[in-house]
Amino acid sequence: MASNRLANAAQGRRGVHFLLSDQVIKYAFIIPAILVLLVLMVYPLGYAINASLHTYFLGKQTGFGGLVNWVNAFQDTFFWHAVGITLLYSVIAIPIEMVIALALAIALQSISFRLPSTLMSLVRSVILIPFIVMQVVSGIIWKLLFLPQFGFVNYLFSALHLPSVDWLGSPTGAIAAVIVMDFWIWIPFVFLILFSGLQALPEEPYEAARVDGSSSWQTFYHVTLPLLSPVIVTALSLRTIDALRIFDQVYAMTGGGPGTSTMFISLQLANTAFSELNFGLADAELFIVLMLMYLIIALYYFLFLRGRMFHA
Amino acid sequence: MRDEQQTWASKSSALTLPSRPPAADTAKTLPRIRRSPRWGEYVSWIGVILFLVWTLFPLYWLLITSLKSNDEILRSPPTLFPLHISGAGYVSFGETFGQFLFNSGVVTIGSTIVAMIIGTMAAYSLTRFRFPLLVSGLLWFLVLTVRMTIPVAFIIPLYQILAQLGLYNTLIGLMLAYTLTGLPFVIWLMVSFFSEVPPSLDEAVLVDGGSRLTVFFRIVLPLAAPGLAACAIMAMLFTWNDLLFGLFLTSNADAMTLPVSIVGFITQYATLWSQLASGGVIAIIPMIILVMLIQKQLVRGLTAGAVK
Repeated sequence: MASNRLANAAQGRRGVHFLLSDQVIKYAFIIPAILVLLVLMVYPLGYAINASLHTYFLGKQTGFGGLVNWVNAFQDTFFWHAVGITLLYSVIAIPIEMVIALALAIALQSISFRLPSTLMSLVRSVILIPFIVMQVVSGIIWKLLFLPQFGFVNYLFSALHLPSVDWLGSPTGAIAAVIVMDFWIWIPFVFLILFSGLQALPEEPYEAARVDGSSSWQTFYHVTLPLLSPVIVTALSLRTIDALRIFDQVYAMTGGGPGTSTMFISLQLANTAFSELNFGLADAELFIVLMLMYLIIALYYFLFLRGRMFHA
Repeated sequence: MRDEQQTWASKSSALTLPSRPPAADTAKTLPRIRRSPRWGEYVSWIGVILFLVWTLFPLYWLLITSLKSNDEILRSPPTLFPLHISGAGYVSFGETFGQFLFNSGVVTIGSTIVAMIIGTMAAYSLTRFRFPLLVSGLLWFLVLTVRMTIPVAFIIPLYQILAQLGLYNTLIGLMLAYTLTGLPFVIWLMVSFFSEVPPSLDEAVLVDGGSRLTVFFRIVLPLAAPGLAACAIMAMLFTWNDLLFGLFLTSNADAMTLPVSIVGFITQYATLWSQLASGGVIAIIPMIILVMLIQKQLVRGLTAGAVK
């Protein structure tokens, strides 16, 4: 505050125009952002709430429907199927990704002192690539790898004398294929966050653990995990949000098929809105999904941040 | 709410510490390693190497598929090296996809510039001035909501609105849509970078008779330049890679972006894998090069929007 007065005094001396005063700059700088967000976000969401209260036929509003869409949303089996498989995929994929990424981060940390720093940064760059690759292209890559006759995965399976699997043609196979692709895309992301977190940990607790003669496993469980838990929660919540949004790579790889077996939430909503042109129903379902997302995030808060994730 | 963001910002700067001198790392890791059994280290090596193979092999597969002829791709068993290297896929991709590449470039650069200008200004204001809780709270709520919600949430109303404004299937309409996703990200990340430039620098300039604009353009922006670059590149990455908005807000070559055209190629010509793979290679190279330039700031960019 004192500095503001000083600044104003300095400006006053030079007779600088009122337009350059802090009060004007303060709001002039922030108002465009608020306006853009209000226009591009609050207006669309308001529009969506309104649409969810109207009935649509082939993309044309046909009248006020009250809560009809909301009631229908709760009875829409396709929608709840989509919610179900999205949760199923998240529950299978995310924990495995977290564990592998953590193991990998600790592995790289433990051998990092043997690697020259240029090699180290090269390794990090390589591990990073799947996250940078356009997800549509990831979908294509994995579709190629999972092709029934010409793909590499079944080639590998036959070399190992395993039965060949119709990956993209059977419901279970398709979900498994999506999850394997998910590992490829997202383990690097989680790894990078956890690895940076590991490198930023303080030394003192490790020295104390060493003095107390704790084993590597004890050190990991009682020192590393508790210290790292804020970073783990960050990675976990980001991963969860992104898992619930999954769209691009699945659209490219399976297109939601076979049948509706990989119709994740985003694909199903887009289908309701743009193929069935039932905007009202899609918007109502959208808000149910939003509430679900906030619920999950709140749950994380409750479980991990209020209580402690691991015992120190 | 504001205070929470601040703590998060300081936490995230702790996250990016790996750029510290390597000596400190060695000092920390060495004693721990000496105690652990030797096989542990072998397991680590094997794990890391396996993971590198797992990461690189699919990319290798994309590359060789783009260099094979379509006949060779549909061979069983598949060939691990192309028998004949052919650039036909690239040539045919170039003929079809030039326009889409252009559209993607225009939309990516345009929306990033808009988001960067508006976003850095807002971020500066947020880090240097005190706002009534209503204003800053509203802004953070908007920013968080964009990060937390599924993009389909915006696509349905945006489609209806753009259609009414006559902006459906135009580059401008698409830029607007991507500004929506880019802006919150830019604000979040730039607040964290700007809060590292000490406000005492601003005050020194102000006392010497400089204006706020001088401070912003001559002092704060240059000091935060690496952050600015990282932020812009990440905003470009998300826009360039995104399928969803392009898919539902465009209908033909006037505005269709590269990922949309690539996806369209799958459904129309299911067997033209060589062209498809060539398109994939071309689509991912620019971003791989750009992101490698900002490796150090990347983690902070990745965790932007994490609720802490």
